[in-house]
Amino acid sequence: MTVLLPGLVLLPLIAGGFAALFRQQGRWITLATGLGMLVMLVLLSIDAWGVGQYQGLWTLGGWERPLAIAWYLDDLAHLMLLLVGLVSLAIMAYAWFDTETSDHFWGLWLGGWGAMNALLLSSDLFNIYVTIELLGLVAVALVALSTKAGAAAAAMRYLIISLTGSMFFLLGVALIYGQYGRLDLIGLAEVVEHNWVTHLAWSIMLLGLLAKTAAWPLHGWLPLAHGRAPTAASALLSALVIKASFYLMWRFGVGPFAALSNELIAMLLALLGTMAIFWGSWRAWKTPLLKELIAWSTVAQIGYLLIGLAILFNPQSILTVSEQFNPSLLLFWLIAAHALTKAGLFLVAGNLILLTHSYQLKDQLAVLCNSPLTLWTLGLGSVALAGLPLTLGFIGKWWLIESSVALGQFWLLAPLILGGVFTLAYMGRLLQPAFEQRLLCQYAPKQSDGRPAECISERQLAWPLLAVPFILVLSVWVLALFPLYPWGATL
Amino acid sequence: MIIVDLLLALTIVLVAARCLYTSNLAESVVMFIVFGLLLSLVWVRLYAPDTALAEVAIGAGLAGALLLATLSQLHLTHAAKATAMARISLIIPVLLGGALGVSLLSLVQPAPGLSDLVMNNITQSGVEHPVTAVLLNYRAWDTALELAILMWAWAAQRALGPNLAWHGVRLQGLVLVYFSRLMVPLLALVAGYVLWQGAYAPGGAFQAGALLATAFILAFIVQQAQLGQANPAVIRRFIHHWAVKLLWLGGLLAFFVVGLAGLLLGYGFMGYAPAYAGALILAIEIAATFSIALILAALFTGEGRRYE
Repeated sequence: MTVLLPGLVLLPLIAGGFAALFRQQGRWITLATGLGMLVMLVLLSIDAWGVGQYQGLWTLGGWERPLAIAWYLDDLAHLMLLLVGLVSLAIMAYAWFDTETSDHFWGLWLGGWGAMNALLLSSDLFNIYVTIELLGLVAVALVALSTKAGAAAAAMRYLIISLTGSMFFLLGVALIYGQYGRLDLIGLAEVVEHNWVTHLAWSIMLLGLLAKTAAWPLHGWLPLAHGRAPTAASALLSALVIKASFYLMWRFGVGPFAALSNELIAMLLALLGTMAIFWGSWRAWKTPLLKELIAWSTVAQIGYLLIGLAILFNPQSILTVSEQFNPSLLLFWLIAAHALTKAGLFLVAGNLILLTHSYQLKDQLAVLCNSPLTLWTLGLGSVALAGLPLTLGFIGKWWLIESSVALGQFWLLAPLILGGVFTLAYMGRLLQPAFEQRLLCQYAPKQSDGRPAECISERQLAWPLLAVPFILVLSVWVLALFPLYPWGATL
Repeated sequence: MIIVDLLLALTIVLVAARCLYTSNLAESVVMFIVFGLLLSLVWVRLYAPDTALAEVAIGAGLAGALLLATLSQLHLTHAAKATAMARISLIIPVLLGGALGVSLLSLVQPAPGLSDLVMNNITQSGVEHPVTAVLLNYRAWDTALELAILMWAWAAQRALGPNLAWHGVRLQGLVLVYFSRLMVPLLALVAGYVLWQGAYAPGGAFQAGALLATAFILAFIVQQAQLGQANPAVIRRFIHHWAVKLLWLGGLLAFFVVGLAGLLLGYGFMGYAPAYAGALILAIEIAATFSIALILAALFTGEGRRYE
């Protein structure tokens, strides 16, 4: 193992430590770190394309499993590292130009990035606990950075949920160690058997992780926290942080605890996912606030991911991995589509709020009537979020539909297809005026004397603030066009 | 002994309940500290003296001091009455406790674990004490990340607001001054001893760091009490001097530098050359002790007005 894999974890942690301590220099430290991380991610990807020498198991400290902590790099971990890296870089580029970015942001998120990379690589139960603890701490602090009314209360609520989730996870880890005397995921996969302790441990770990992912009905904290956090923080939390705990459920469910999966747990997850889609969409349809709409949409989109998890956990599913094609990786593209789109949408929402100084949905028309790029970003983003054909989300959703049919679970077609329609409906609340072009500026808020208020142009903003979300959203379309070899998603 | 254990268990539950359900916040904090002290006794009874030391120094001592400092900044002394929802939610820990109780009955005996592997490799680990071997050698990566958590706990506290200035009660009288003149050097000495003995007996960087942090905090409180005499907040300024701030990261940096050196020399990432393992572990522990002490003390003192 050369320094590449440790570097991906150590660089952001060390740089983040310096950026947190010396805040005035924070953004420059971040710039240098971001470039370094980009180089390492490119090198790692070039290697995966050819030799693949980094893929596989690494034990730390020169000891053997199960004494040592193990890292494991496979296609999924690699793709997640790339996703986290690229989305982080895009959001940090946006934050660089956002005048409201706090000095604290840089050090905090560099720590979060390091924690995410450590989590994605780890193949050891207790080590994973340590990484989610670090990530959770950063996530709560990012929410608390906001000066918006109610942000502190939202952060407190998030902290309590997040810590409770971590404690449940840790309790499960302790039970597993008590039962099997080892913590490495690969070794556990060989010894795990059906008994009361293991089922209890896996259940409470799953419960903790579901709460941290904001799965229905444990989602209550998410719209508050993601709705009130600063722009860049909302984007990071919705795009990446909740995916970390989802990734762990995926990893554990098909790894060490695969033997415990049954149709009951799959059915339960599918039900939670269905409820999340319906309830999240309904609340997004009703909310008067811009960022809460996008946050509720995250609750709904997590529903899709849960249905994906249900399919992975169903013992009847056919998930044969051939040399070139790993069907379960299609779920990753759903994660990626949501991460890229949602990051873009939260950043656009940040732009709108910067221009209108209002969090209300109805006040945003003043900008939309005179801002083509913002409108395009929102339009492309809404369609991508709905997962229509030609977008990345469609690859994942098609797999969900296909698998549901193959399993005979026809009722799942209802949430899977209706969810997309709902997405267009609630995003249409923002876009609908745009379709009625002629009326646009008449819809804009009136001044006190009855004349239409002047439209606010997006040109007041620095161009990177407009470009970054547009590129993020566009990438969901462009990525869907290219064959995604070598990661099992050739179309 | 079984009677002592039962009494201990019963008292802990009662203290915890009192801590949660009293409306007087000061009483709640004091109960939390008592809870931590009792819990450390439980660890002693479970033959886990390392955990007991950490619990008493950090769980009861420093967490208690932080809670008291927080309390002094709140403009309320009583918590809101528990809602009906809060009472109903009590059912969750009860259910969980029941499930855990049942699972205790079916745990494998004798407990499987990695103790044999830990002891078999201990001659190559560089230390004699198995807990230190696990924390600083076999699972050093966990400990490095724990130091990162401490660092980011501080960063998170700073992110909450401009400053948490100490508004504690103005302490009067000379007793505290003389007491701290005696205690501060003594605490530093004991911290050094606890650090050193970690190689072959319970102790180590976290406990030593917490003791050293206590010395800083005690000196800081006395400084605050002696307003007008000494230069106020000289301790706080010392902790936040840019050169001292580099020491905050010292523990993390030492882990990472040694970890990368191990990688380049062929012992694997976070690996030590067995011949130098003892010395490297001691070096990391010294750096970590200072990091832990400074960050814990900074959590208590806040940054001061300079940064507002």
